[in-house]
Amino acid sequence: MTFSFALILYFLFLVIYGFFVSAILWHIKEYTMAQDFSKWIIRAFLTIILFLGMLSLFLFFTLPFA
Amino acid sequence: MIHLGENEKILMVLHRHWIVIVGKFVASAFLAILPIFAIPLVFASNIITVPESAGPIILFLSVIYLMILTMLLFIFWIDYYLDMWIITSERIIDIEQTGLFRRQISEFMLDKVQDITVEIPDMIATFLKYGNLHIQTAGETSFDIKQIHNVYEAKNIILDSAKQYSNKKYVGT
Repeated sequence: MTFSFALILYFLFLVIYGFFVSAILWHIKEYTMAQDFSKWIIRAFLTIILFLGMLSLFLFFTLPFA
Repeated sequence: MIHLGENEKILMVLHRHWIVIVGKFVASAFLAILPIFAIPLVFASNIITVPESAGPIILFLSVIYLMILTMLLFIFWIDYYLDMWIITSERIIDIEQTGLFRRQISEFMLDKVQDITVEIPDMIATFLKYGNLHIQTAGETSFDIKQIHNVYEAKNIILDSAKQYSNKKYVGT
């Protein structure tokens, strides 16, 4: 029961987080003038976000629900 | 993104100086490392008794906290990066990004430019070479371009282009 509730909360968080990441990427695609230094910053941010997302997923399944 | 006229060319794209966003980045870096010091302190001080099994939960919540912080930082950067002024051979376009979903675009033709004032507001601006441009237009409104790098170059480009555009328009009529 606790696991299911935590899983739903975590899934909701990931969906909202994913929505914001997509919104940011859409803004970049739509409004940036040229491919300048911004692409390095975007790559760095995406790498950090992906790393933290995978780490959180791994840690979620190590939580002591019992 | 921006529709240019037939003979219109982009002369300069201006962003705010990087110093504008440094403060937010430093604050975020401080908030990011805060749990590293705060959590052991809470454990050591015995203010609250934390069971040993809470370790993985605290670690998991710290990662979630870092994810939210990274997202906020990304939004701050987008807000900074998408705020821009585009000087073309015919007009000045002001794009104001506020947060993630609010965007305002205004523009005026270069033949409306009457007077430009350059302002270097303080000591930091003097050292880092940024400043503000106050453009007086023929209408009732004035226009401000704030905290930009290459402020003198921008002023010269606007004045030269305004002169050329007015001459071209005058010859054309």
